[in-house]
Amino acid sequence: MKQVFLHSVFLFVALCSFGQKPIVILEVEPKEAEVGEMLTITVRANVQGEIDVDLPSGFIHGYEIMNGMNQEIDYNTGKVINYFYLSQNGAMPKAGTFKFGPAYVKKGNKVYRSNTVTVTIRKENTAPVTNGNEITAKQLRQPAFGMIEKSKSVIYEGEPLILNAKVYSIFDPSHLEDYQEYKLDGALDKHDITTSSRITVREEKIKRTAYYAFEHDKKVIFPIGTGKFTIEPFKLMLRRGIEGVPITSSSTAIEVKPLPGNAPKDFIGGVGLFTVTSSIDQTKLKQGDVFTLIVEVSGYGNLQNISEPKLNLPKGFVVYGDAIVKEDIAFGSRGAEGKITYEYNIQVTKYGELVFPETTLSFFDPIKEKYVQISTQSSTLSVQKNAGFKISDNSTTTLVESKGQDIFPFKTSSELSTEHNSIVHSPVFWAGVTVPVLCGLFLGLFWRKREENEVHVVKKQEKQQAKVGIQNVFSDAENALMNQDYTNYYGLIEKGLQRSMGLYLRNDDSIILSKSTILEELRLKNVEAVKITALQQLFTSCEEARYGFGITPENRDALIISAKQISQSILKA
Amino acid sequence: MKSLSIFLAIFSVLYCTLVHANSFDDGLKAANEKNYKQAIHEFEEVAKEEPQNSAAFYNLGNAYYKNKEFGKAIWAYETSIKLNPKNAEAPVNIELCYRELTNGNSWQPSISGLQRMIYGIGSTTWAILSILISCLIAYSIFSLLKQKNTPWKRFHVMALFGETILFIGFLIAANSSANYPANNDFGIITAKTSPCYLDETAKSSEFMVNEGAKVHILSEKANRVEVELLEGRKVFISKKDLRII
Repeated sequence: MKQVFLHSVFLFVALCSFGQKPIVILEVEPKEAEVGEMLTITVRANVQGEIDVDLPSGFIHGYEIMNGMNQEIDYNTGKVINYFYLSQNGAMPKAGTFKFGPAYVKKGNKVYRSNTVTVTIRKENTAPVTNGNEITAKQLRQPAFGMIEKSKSVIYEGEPLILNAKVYSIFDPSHLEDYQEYKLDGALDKHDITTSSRITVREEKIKRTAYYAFEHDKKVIFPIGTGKFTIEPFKLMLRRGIEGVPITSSSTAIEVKPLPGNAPKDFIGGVGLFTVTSSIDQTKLKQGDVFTLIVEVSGYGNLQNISEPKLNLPKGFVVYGDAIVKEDIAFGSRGAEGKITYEYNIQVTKYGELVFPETTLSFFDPIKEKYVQISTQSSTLSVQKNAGFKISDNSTTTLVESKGQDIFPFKTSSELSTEHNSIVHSPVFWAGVTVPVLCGLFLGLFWRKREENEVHVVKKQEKQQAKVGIQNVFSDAENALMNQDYTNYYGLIEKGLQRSMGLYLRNDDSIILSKSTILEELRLKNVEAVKITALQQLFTSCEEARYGFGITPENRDALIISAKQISQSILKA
Repeated sequence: MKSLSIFLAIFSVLYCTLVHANSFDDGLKAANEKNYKQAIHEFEEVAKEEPQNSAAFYNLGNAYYKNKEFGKAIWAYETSIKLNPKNAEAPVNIELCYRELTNGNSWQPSISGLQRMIYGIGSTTWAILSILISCLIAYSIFSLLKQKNTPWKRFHVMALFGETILFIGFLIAANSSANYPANNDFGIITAKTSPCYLDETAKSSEFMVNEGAKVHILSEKANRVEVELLEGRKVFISKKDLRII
């Protein structure tokens, strides 16, 4: 019992320590390269700290250094892991097998170590060729000159072309300045393959004359299109200390030939040398199970531009979704080199001993100048019957499978497209869409006009009634005068005038405005000054007659006439 | 004289209908007897006389398929889909054609899902909807003019805005649905392989394109058609190797 307990505790502690184990990974790409070819060294660690890498002696550091952090999901545990990384490039100046690493991550007092990576550096066996004929006598008379070296003069469409600038000088150069690279029209797909940090000068002889020579700006280019292309010259200032010689290189030309026309049906567009392998994650399945097929295309050439191989799926296998594509490509002197993996999820819908056939593909070999077909191995799957399995019909592929690979039957009756007698281009349609809109517009405008007229008539009638009301007030004033009820007489004259002005100024005779407001608003309405003065006098006379010293009988009788005249003249206006 | 001309017109219409019906039925009969060459002949007759008959093209595709002329079958199915975008069987049959051809092609719809839905509804339906929405617009305009300065004014303005947008959408849908069958945008390679030329007069071909490949028609010349391949290359193809959808 005690032993079981101790074992459990030990296992628990071991698992925990394994789960929290710091990870430091060193990666170098590519694993095989040429002298001077650019290598990328990446250190990834799940602990943050000072990173240091043991590099082989003579390693030339490039300019590109990147560091940062990214997150990855561990699909086994579902946990998100933070990776801190440092990436830098550089090149080896000599051939041989070199050990890179280990890398160290220092965190506090602890140092974590990574793996080591062995890289093989070979001589420049595919180095660009110098065609002696391209060096002219004029160039040889100069203290320094340049030329563009190319791996081939004639290539096939898609084949990688290696170019570099080469400089010869009769003096030992210290450095170069103001470099303007060579240009090739249509070379949109180009990649640097050497570090440009330093120049390595060596001695070469041309026509018995010793020159200092160095190469610079080595690129792999994938020309687009066919035909003859001119590579425009590069320019630079070659320095020896403070003295300098400007150099403009000669230009050169290449010819890009189209691929032969008899391309096989399974041609994936690859030009170079490729291999293909495949693997299946499980061979014992139940009907309806989904297995994973991984097809890996590796090699060199225009690997980055190849298309997905077509699977030769027999009856009983259904692919779900698109393939997951993973690329691991580095650009070097052989073009794009590495591998591309295609991961397919395939459902098996039949049972028994099933043969999953090989996948074939073709590429063009520019050395043999012919198409080459390669294939994977076929696999045998042991599939158990699953009575509960039913083919779903949510995809076209499955529908085809369930139909037993036969087409849908003939249709027994004609199905005329409705478009042959469409009403869209007929006048009926355009009348149908415009007439209702126009009708609505005109009907609405007509309705609105009618309502406005009705309102106008009502207002006119109300105004007329108000005028009659005002006349009645003045009639009452006349009656009051005849009955010698003078107090009422003056009050009715004022009331009649105020109602008249209410009707004139506010369109409502029931609104009684003060005398000062009436006079002010009449002035604002630009009523003749004579009328305003007369009205003011009338109001004053009425007030004086009522509260002041009285009024002569002639003036008293004339007040009603004046009031009626002013009221009528203002209302008429 | 007038009666005679009316009689002749009615007779000719009835005769034509009867002849087409007979060709269609004869095509079905020939197909049932597994005489697929005869079925092809009969359905081609119907397709020629009734170029809007989706079922005729579908059946023609089936007859070509059974006769192992897969490129032509794909063309017939594609034409059937163009005439009736709701046709669900034709895409499956096209996939089977591509499987038989084993040249790595697969069915690529010429139109998006949204276009397929719009064209599937049909221009007449869209036209009727346009007319109905124009009546609603008329009502909204009338209400807006009638009920000025009322709380409903804002509602009518919003309704009119929405209806106008719908109206424009329906008009575009009706117009594009009506014009769609007349567009000759795509073609199918019906020859086993067709040489691709870089210009109209080039004598040597650059590469070959396989049977059943769908190409985008750019322009038609005297003997060749300028097309754009699915990967984007523009080339010239002989007219006899291609059937336009």
